[in-house]
Amino acid sequence: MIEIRGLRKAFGSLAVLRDIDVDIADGEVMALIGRSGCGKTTLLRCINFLEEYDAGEIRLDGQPLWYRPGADSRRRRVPDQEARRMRQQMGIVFQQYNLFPHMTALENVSLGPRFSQKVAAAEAEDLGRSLLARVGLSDKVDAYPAHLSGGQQQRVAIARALAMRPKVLLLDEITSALDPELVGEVEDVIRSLLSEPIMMVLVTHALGFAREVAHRIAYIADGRIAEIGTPAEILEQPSDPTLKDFLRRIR
Amino acid sequence: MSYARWFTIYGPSYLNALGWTALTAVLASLGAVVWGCVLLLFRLAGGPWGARGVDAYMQAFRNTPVLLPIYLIYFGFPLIGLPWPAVICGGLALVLQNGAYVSEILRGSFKAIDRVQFDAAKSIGLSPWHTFRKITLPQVLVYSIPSLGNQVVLLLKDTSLLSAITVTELTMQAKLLTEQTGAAYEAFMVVAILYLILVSGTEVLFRVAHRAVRWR
Repeated sequence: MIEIRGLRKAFGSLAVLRDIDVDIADGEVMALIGRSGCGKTTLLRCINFLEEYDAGEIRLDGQPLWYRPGADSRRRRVPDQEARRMRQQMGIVFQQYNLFPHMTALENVSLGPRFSQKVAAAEAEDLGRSLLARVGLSDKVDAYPAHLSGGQQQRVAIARALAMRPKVLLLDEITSALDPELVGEVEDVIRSLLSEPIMMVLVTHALGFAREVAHRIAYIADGRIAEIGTPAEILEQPSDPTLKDFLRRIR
Repeated sequence: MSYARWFTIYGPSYLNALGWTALTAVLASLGAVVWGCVLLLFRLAGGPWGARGVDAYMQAFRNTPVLLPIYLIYFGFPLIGLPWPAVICGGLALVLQNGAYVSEILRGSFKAIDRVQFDAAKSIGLSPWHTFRKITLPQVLVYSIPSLGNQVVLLLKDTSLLSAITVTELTMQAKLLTEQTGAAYEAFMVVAILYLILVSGTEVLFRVAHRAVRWR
């Protein structure tokens, strides 16, 4: 499970995360919703330390991540090598796919296991093939990203994240950049993961999809979790006035 | 003496020189690209002092004529106990100078890489070294192919300066034949044509290489 306590983050004088407290249980799927700029993507990026944060604590299965208390009561970043090891327990999928353009689909997927986890080349390749098969891209193993559709690229990106065998999958608006007709194939892949014990945190504007796959939805406003609950609670009986307004606008 | 007749008599004596020019150009180009990659690595990963060091190095080589490092190494190295053959000294000078330009070319291409790829590399736990080797360098080199082609052409032409330190490459060969036969015009025309062929061939090679990249 993931425990987040007192998470704060500012970009200069702009406070983006003010005081985030939230737990994500094993196997739970948590959706983060909110207006653009509310801090939901920043929260996601803090979880796997693509963003540093100013205060607070993040624990994964009880293990404190990213910072250690220093001798002088000031915290210190964990050494880079340790941060890399911690980060391998989490996979992230980005809005813009972020595939490596000079590598085939298979190379994109095998790269992490091969060089971060020192898996033998043949084994990493087998893993890559089986994951690409899993996301329905067996026939695109040797294709370069430039020759794949957005939906296919995003499925490769999901396979690449899964290749690290993460405990958590972080999904950052993964269908926002896609043409509408390609959204379904990517959502299908996420649906197929629901039977796994993997935790998922998804930042999304697709409320229908969030309602379908998430156990809980957290509505973030102004750097805080303004409301959190089951999809039915959040989407049908919202109590926060800004959430009511947000839902009206987005529908 | 007619040009054709001159060529049938003295043409073969250029072959050896052509070999030296080509060999020096190829090896020095490879060396310059490798050295340029190393300088880029220093600039990217060497902290503020790495960047400053590379800048100072750039200034030193960009602001002096190539002939200077050629002379300095050829005449200077024996003084520090390294009496290397002239072609090695000259080749080294070409590597050091062109490596500086290559690293600037690579730096330009580095800016063309979408930054988000580095987030992706981090997210799969790649070390900075693997990120450089597997993500940065391959893309930087491919984006740089056209500019590297230009640089290699410049280097190829600069090999003629090695004639100043006794290397028997094409230009030197023409000088020698001029002294032997007095036919300076013929001697240097042949060389001009050979350079033209070498340079055109190089350009074609880089254009083909650029087009052969399948992922772009």
